[in-house]
Amino acid sequence: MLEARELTKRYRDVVALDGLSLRVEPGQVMALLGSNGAGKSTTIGLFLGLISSSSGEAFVDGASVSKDPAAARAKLAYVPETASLYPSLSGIETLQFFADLAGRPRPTKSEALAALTAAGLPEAAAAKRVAGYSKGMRQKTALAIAIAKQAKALVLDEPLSGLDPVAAIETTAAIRARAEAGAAVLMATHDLFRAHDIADRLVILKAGRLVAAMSPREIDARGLESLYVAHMRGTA
Amino acid sequence: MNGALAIAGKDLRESLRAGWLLAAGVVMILLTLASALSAAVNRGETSRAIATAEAQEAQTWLDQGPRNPHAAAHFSRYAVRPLSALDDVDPGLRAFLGGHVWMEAHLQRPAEARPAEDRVDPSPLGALTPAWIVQHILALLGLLIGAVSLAREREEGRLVLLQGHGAGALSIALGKILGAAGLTAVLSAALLLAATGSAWWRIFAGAGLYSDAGLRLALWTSAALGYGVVFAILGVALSAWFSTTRASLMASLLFWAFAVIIAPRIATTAAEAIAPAPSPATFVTALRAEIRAAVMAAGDGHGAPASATVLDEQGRTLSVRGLRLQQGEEIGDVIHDRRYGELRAAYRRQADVRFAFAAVTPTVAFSSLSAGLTGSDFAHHADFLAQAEAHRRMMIRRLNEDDIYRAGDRGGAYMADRALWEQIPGFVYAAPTLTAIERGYLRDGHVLIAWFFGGFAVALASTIFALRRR
Repeated sequence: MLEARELTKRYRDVVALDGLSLRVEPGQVMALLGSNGAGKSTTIGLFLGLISSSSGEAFVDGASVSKDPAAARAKLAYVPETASLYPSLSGIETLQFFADLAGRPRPTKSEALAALTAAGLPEAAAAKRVAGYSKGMRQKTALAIAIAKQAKALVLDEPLSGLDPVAAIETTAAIRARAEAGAAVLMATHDLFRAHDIADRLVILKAGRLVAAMSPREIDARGLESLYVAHMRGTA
Repeated sequence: MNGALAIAGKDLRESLRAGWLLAAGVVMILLTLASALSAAVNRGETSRAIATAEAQEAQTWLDQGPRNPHAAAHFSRYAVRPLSALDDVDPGLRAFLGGHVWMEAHLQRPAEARPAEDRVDPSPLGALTPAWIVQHILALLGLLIGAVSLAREREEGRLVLLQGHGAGALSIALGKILGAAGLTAVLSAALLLAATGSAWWRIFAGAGLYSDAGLRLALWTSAALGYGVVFAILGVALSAWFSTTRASLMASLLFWAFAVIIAPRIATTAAEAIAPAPSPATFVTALRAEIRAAVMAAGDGHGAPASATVLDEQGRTLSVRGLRLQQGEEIGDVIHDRRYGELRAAYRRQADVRFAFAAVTPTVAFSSLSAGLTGSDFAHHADFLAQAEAHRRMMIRRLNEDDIYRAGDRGGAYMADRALWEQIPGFVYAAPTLTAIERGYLRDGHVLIAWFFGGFAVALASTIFALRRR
């Protein structure tokens, strides 16, 4: 479970996040929507413990990110917008490295291969160096790393950005599968239609504040787009 | 700790797979082999020249023919300090100080015509030796390895990925330091193997000169390895403060120029300014003037009547001229020892001032330790000079004693012959052990160790601070 309680982040006079409260239950996918500067990346950074909050608290499966960062990190997996992996390592070695990093048992080559193919990476690419991967392949490798961690919470920052349609569909399926396995998933994205397709909960942020929250069942994709645009233009 | 080891291992594997490192390693090893080859060729030529000169000099001494012992006292001999296998590694100040002393038995000459003796620690610029490569190139490589390790991760967005997958600031900091240090150690080990291979071979073949040559080379290798690692750690510390690889590399280059090139020279200049020593000409002129005045005041043997004799307790006839000559020598020896003691004290003060700069750069401590361990520093040269001076005193005593006991009333007309020349052996250098050298090297070693741990602490703190300040 992921939970934010009155989470606020200020940079001098600028309020990047203003009293955000949200809760992502196990098995749920929450899509965090908003324009650039809305506070999506700040929210993710606060959950990851990469930045410290000005006030409020973030929790990962009950562990406070500020008070027990190690426990929070252990329960969290992360996929960045641009998966900048180590070019001289192969996909399999990358997976093994991140397992070592997290202090988990190192997956065997076949286990790593299974995790990579489950994330949509072609089997033939798994043993090759990441230097030769496309952006989609890197993104899938990053997703495989996150999935292999078997974390209780998964945080994704624009995971579908720049992917071709097929890769986006495969990545979406992998994310959904992870949620169905019981993980709480928080995904920041600009892709409203994909968000509507994958998420159980949709949240719109504007200037660091939560301005709308709904279930995809309450609104269709086109309606979500209209609502989003209205909020961004200040006409909602 | 698992995270740190994973990061360090990954960094090492990544770097070893990268072509640039292989290329840098090959270039450095070729450079080192070239320097070792060059040193071996030079050493061979010098050793042959020394052997030829020693043989000729010994023969000339024996063949000088009949002459008064005091005339022989103005006949010069050479004290030669042989080359050691360690000279190939770091010739140190040898090029400045020389490896021989012209001993004119009647005159103390060691400080003449050696401008380097009046300087603190002149570094032989441009000499492509293993020590030079370690001091300059290995330091640069260590810094660059450290400088890119953290900055590149940050620039390419991987720090976030590491942190997002459970690596804490301490793990990342430790991992980066261990990775950079380990990589530099691997490179250094290859380089040092190339640098010391031939020296080890010669030591095992008995050409080490020093009885503790193996220990000296082992310590030198360890110090060189540690020196490179210190720069890698400092590189990590620097990289923590910069957000781009380019900025980190630029800062590292500036630090390298300061630590390796500029600071040691400032240290030398400061030492000369703060604790000045007399110029060689001033020193020798003052020394001779004082000796001459003291000897004249006591009655110079040169001016004694040639036929004057006295009887000793056993009733033997002694030459007054010979007695006065020896008395003059002993008066001169006392002045010589005092004056040289003062000069050496001035050098020690300069060395202390220079050593203070070891607080701002590890290069000062390493260069000093390197020259000391290889026996090419001023302390070893001073030991050689002391041995040469002791030999000179033995020579003049034997010559004067011959004059005293055998000249009788013949004075300067007395002629000694080959029998006397053969009684005076040539100089044989007794190579000292490290512990026998007055100047201890522990101080340099302690400073390098302090740089290692201090650098480690600063790198750790800087990295953790940089990772947490977001």
